[in-house]
Amino acid sequence: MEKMQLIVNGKRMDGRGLTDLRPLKIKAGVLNKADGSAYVEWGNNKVLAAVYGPRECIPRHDVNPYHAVVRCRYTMAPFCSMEEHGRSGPNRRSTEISKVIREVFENVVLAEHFPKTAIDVYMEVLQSDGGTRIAALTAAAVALADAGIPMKDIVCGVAVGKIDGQIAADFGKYEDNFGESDIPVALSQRTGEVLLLQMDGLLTKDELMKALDIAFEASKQVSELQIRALKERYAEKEAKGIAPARPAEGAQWQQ
Amino acid sequence: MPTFQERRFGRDRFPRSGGPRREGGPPRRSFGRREFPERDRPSPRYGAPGGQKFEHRIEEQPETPGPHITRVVVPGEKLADTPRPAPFAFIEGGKTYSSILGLYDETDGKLVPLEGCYLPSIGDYVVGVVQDVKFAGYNLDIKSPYIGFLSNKETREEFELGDILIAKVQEVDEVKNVHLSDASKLEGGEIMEILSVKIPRVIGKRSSMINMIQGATKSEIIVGKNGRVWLRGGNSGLAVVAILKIAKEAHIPGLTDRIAALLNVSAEAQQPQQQPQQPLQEPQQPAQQPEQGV
Amino acid sequence: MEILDEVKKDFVKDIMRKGKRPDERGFEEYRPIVVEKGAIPAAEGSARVHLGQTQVLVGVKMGIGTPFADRPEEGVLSTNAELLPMASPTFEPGPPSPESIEIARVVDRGIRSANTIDLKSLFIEEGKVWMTFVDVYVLDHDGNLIDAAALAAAAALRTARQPKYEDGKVIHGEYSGPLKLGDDCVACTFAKIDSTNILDPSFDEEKAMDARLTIATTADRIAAMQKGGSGGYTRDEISQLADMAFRKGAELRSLI
Repeated sequence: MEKMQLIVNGKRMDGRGLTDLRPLKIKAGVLNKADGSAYVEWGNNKVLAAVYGPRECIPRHDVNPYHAVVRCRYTMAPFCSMEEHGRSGPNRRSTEISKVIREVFENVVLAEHFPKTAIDVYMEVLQSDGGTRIAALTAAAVALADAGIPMKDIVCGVAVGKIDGQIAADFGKYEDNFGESDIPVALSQRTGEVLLLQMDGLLTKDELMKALDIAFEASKQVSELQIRALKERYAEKEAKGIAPARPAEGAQWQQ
Repeated sequence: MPTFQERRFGRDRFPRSGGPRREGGPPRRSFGRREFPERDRPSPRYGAPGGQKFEHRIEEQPETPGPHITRVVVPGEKLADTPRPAPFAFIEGGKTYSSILGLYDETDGKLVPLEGCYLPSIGDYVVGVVQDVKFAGYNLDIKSPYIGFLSNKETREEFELGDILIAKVQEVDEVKNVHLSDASKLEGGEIMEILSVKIPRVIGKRSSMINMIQGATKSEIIVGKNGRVWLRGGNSGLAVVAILKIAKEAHIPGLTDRIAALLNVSAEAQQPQQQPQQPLQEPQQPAQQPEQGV
Repeated sequence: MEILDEVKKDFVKDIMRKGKRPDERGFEEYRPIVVEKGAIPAAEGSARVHLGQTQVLVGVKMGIGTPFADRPEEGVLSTNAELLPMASPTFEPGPPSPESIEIARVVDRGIRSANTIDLKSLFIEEGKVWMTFVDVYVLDHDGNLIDAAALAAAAALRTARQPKYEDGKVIHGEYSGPLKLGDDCVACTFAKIDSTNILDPSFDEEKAMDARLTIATTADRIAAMQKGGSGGYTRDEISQLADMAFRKGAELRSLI
């Protein structure tokens, strides 16, 4: 297939600027059984994340007597791609992604509160269009907060990279396939630490540093949406059909 | 997870995700072993001679008088520019941050989790289920990642698999081994579960909320700190609805008034001495398809 | 948590003896159902079903493959079910469990028997046919996964479009039209608790049941059946449940 120009007059195929994100929606608390959950629509990506825990750690040989073990499982649905039907369950790529995501949460989850337990994070890509591991991690971070797991920060991220010789953020699948370098990045806004970093392709050091700067900047929007999704669950709402609300006494609300 | 994790054996939840918003089905009843018919009998023994009424007690810290400023906070959110220690808050570079999704009271510097599992704490009374009978005692499921152990030395009674007990957390060591004492069996009745973090609101200041519910429904209620509530007799269905409402709306001011309204409205209309009543029904949607998306 | 299951089981049975269900439903009543069609546009067809608090997502994908040796003029239908670990604390990651395999095969039998997909219309040329992959993804388990899965599969097939096929290749993202479909097939599952049969068991009711009977129907035929659990059914019970399955099946079909 002949490659189209990815950037024309500073605009990309879908009209975005180089550092613009695709439309992003996040909703917390979407499943009933799981302790915490979140659903993310990022461009055409649709990812569902769920958390169970802290709970008894089985198999017992995984148990750590001093802190909770964080386990992550990233998988893609067989119907997630516009292209061919895929197979269910994990494969080598998803196993690697599960590992690097786990390492992010091992950093921020305050696991010492829950020795001998397991915190299980499940991420399912229901529809994929480039940048799925970052979308999955975005959802997982919200699901962990939704489950009440204590963390140092809600991790956010953006995949950055190089297309048509320029550094840009947030690639769709087409840009992914024909770009020159793909750099998923996850970070803690609060501490400025990079917690997930992978890269392929060829870059100069300057290009890399520029990419990181863009990642820090662009991920701020992601962070805002994650926080909003969580707080929205506690916006003043009353169960319907019971009694009307009376004005508050003694407490003032600040949102 | 739903807005408030009510693992009631019987649930009343709103649906999540996609699709048009709609009410869940009518509230289910709570669970329990054989429900005993209403009868005149003293409260179950709680280890205290003479079967005293169970006293719900929560640790209450002194509160600053006047209006409080509260807000919902998320992990990593800054609470204060100075060190203000609180459980689940951490201090970094002289500033205080929340580690959890919680409600932060700026006036008092208190941080209360809105979600999360039950972590056993010394002095808590919990409602547990015997899940294992060992040589030296019993393992209890106390709705926590940690199992509660009741030693034979701590109880003269013999319990069976599946028995529901009220017990006190005697000791929790650094590796979270939980030892229980002062155990009594709870006969009959039903159990419901809500998030343990909501329990202080169910009990209320100086037990005001739970007393109001007990008074209005004439139900025997024992609230475990671990989020399990045992109820028996009276209008327990109404009590279940009230407790679920507290769990759902704990963060919205004016809760006491709303619960009082709920209880008054129903307590007048129904006779607590008859057959167990139907709990209040939410309007039920017929099984039909609302607008379709494509 | 298993001991709690025993406690709840006792309670469900007690309630049933009094003629009621834990959530106050009638014995022949479905929980509220919502069908969202086209939830996953990247797939050729998709639908998500909420059945009470159970949530099931089905995706339909199509591709080119070789037919089975004994049916060289027919396309291929392949159905798979995943009980995602996120759907229940009792689901573990791993190879397909007997439960997930049963769900997939029962849903598959219904579709096949009812000829919901006209497999002959999937023939392209000798040695080349369309493959239809139906993937059932269970997201949230509160009982009666079979009915939810069958309904979602039927709705997903109804939304499915056949991809364009030109010069020996599939053009993904472009479609030649809707899939050629026959009758919709839906499933009605009844749980037997002591000697009472109830429609659409919730998770807790399933824990208390002695047996389960699933009857999948089209408008006027039974297309598949599956009995589960170790309890037994009398001939009369089966007759009554079959009648009910036609009645309730019509309700389900109207939601597609």
